[in-house]
Amino acid sequence: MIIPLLKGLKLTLKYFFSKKITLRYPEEKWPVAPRWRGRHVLTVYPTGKIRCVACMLCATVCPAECIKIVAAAEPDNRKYPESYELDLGRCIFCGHCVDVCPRQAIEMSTVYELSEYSRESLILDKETLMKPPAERYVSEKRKAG
Amino acid sequence: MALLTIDDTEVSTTEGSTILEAATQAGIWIPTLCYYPKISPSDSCRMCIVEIDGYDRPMTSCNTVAVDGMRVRTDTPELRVMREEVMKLILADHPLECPTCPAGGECDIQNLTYRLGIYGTDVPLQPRASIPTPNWSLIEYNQSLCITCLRCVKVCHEVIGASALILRGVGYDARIDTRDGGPLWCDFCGECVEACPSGAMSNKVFRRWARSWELRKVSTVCPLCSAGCRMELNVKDGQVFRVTTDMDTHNKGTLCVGGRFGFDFIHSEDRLLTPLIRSNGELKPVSWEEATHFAADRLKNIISKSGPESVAGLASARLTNEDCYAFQKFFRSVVGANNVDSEARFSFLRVQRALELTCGIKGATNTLGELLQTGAILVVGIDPLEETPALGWKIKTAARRYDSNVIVANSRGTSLDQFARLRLRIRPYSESELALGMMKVILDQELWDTKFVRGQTTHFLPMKGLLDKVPMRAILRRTGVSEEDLVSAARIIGEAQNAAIIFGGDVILQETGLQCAMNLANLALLTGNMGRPNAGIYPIFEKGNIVGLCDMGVMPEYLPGYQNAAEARNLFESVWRTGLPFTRGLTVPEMVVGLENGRVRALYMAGADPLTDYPNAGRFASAIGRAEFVIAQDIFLSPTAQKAHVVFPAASFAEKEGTLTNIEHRIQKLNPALQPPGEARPDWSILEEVARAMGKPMGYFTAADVFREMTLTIPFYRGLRRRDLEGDGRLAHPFTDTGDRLRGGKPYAFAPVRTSESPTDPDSTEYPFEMIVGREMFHFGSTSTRSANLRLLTPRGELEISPEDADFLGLADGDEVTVSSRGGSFSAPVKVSATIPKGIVFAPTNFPDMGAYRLLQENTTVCNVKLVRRT
Repeated sequence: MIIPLLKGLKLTLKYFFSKKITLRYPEEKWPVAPRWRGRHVLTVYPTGKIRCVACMLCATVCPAECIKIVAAAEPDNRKYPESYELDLGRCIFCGHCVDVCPRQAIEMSTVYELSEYSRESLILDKETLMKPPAERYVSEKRKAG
Repeated sequence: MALLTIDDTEVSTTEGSTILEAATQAGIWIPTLCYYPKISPSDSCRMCIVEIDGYDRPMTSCNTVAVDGMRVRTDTPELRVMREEVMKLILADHPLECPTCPAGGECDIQNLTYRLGIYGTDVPLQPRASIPTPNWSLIEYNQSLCITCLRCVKVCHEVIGASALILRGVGYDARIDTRDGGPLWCDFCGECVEACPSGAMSNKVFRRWARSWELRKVSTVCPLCSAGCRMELNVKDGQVFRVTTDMDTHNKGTLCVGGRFGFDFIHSEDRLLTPLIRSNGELKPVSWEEATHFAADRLKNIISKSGPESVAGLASARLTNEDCYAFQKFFRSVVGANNVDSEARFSFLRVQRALELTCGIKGATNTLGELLQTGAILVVGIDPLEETPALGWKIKTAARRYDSNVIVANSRGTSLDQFARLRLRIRPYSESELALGMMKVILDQELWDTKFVRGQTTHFLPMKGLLDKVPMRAILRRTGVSEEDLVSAARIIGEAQNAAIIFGGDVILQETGLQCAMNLANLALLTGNMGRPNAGIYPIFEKGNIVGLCDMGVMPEYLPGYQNAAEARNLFESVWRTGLPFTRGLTVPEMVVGLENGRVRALYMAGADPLTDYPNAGRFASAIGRAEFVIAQDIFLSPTAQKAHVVFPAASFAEKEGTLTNIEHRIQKLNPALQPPGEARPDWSILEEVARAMGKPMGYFTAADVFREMTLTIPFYRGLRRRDLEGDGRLAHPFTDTGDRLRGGKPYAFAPVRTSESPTDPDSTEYPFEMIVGREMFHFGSTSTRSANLRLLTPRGELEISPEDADFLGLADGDEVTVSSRGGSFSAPVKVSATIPKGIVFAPTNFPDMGAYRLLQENTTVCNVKLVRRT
């Protein structure tokens, strides 16, 4: 009668002393693969100028239709996006936009903590997308603790 | 008929058509690059090569005529290799900037490489040294994208006749340039952009750019001039980005500067967005409900105190047929007066009257397309480039491709001069005498169509009796044309198989325009050019829907469809379910008198801007100040609307449904492309709203309701459905019944001939210049002066003056002068122009801030002025 109990306890103790597979999220995080498809980033040239030329290919290829670009041209006919809106609430993180971009102007970062309190704040504008995404919850927790 | 085999398919085609045309008809694709349907084939790109049995080398299909029994193969391995070779040579120095190229998505090179499966090139050639893009207005040329296919050069030369572009240099340095190498200055029709297979010629105003596949194309009609060309508005995100065309239209996909670039007035910042009410002397935004009730209460108040006759209404050629119909119905059924009129009073109504008396038709007798096959064309008092460019291209093509003899009679130089067999530089105001002179010569030399005159016309002998009394010497003195020229002009018209007579603003806007149009109609009748194809008479007037405006009965004389109240009263009363007024109604001059003596207390204006558009605007300005209550509905706060007590914001052509009628009586449908900005509404719905607030709704909920009612009441609209108007629309002629009492049982009648004295100004020493007012080349009415694109070409009105007079006064281009007559004055910069004869100055009427019409005292387009340099 005690044998099955000990057997069970053995399994428990085995896992008790083995390496943990859970993580104390959000204080701790999994390392993600470099090819992780997280939040988008609009890349810039070293001069700080946006690489995007508003060719609309990302907006065209997007299956979720979450990219909205208003294009404009400079007097020397160089095209740039006047506004670039990406609705994370609709985005399915397929990465087609990155694949199709002829200028490597849109890339996907490894950031996946994208929850917000309102749907509106899920719509990212050009300025937000140009900045590298901040690590949010971890840093906040650290501040608090 | 030619029967040939293309790729094992039997194809039958008309005699004389090319293999490419035959293949296209049969649905067989042959790749092309330099071929463009509007122009003659260049056969320079070697893309369309085909193999024909019996020929030892490949032939270009774009210019090889299909012959009976030909066996053609369009796709063989040998041909494919050759085509790939051609494409690779093009790609060798064609930068693959497709993501930012304006043509991306609709580029022939892109499509061909994709379809032929060419992914790159192995030709070791260096990209061309890039030459800086020339700084042209509206149109941009990028040499590095150019494949020198010459489509732009040829379309400019063959279709538009502007010949502004040429090919400069050879080999690698070959590029498109302007004739003199300077900045482009042409008609700015943008046909070169439309023709370009790549992105070399691009639309510069497409700055806020979009890709071709994102744009929704809405087929609609250009409202700016009376040619009514069809065009496609390219819309994205509630904004029109550009205008393109479809080649399968009555205007063959050709647009002028107005259609191609002038659309952007709809996005002007000056658009009215909310209703405005004047309080404490200022116009303040209010809600629709407040504005309509305010307007309705004041109108009701005035009607109950002074009767419906104290309210007058002015409509405009800017409105659609539905708007015009609703406007006159509002006045006839809700207000209860016939006091509706428009600017047609000073222009088109005169001509309609003249043509009705002589030919029994209310406008052009033939279609614009028929002009191509005429033997001779007499162009009197019109520069088509200024009024209806679409007509100018037809005349130019007729002159060059079909060898039509064009006679241009004008007091200024025109864009048609270089295409004319004969140019008659007549004195201003003497078009009528010119027609008489030509008739005299035709009668003298027995060139008149005896059979036609005897068989189909009446009143010939009385007319001839009057004509014989006019001495030839007086005609020559009055017109300033030599007898030799007059005789040769008369011979050209008299001897031609078919001759068309075109006359325009300079004739129509004259005080004696009625007589002048009758004399021209007499000339057409005398030579038998009436009632048959490729001949006839074309009255042309710039204002968009001027024909529709008259058709809809926006005049006191007639109910819609030119019906007399005496005959059609029952019909209208049964359809409208209201009574019709029995009073005569006021015309515009009578309204002005009424405003001055207080008998007219309220004025309702729909789209009308009398202070800019009406002759004698100075008197109107003081008269409108005496009106107790003025309502204006417009898309902009025009100078007249600024004096109104209530202003309603109206929707523009791109934002509403409706129909427009062009100069050849083609009824075409507008398709809404956008939502009206702010709280703007279509004009008919504003009228319905005011009518409801007055307690007498007209029963309209959509523009289709108005149209349905039009088909019930207007004879030549009967049985028409809106879906019939898709595409090129319908031609619907308001023919008056032939053989009525005016014409003694025959279809046509000569009108009596009268000569008028030349208007002499007693102050000619004080006011030495004769001022002609007309229309500016790049503007259409005053609406287009709100277009930023067109303002780029002509920012403000300029006073054109002859080089001799400029020398005498010591004036140069750009000098500010004050122009004054006894009626008033305005100031404008001077432009020295070789097209103006000595002693004459020309002022455009398009610009509201200039107000050239204020100087005119009578209903004429000529007045005497003096120029003083402003310091």
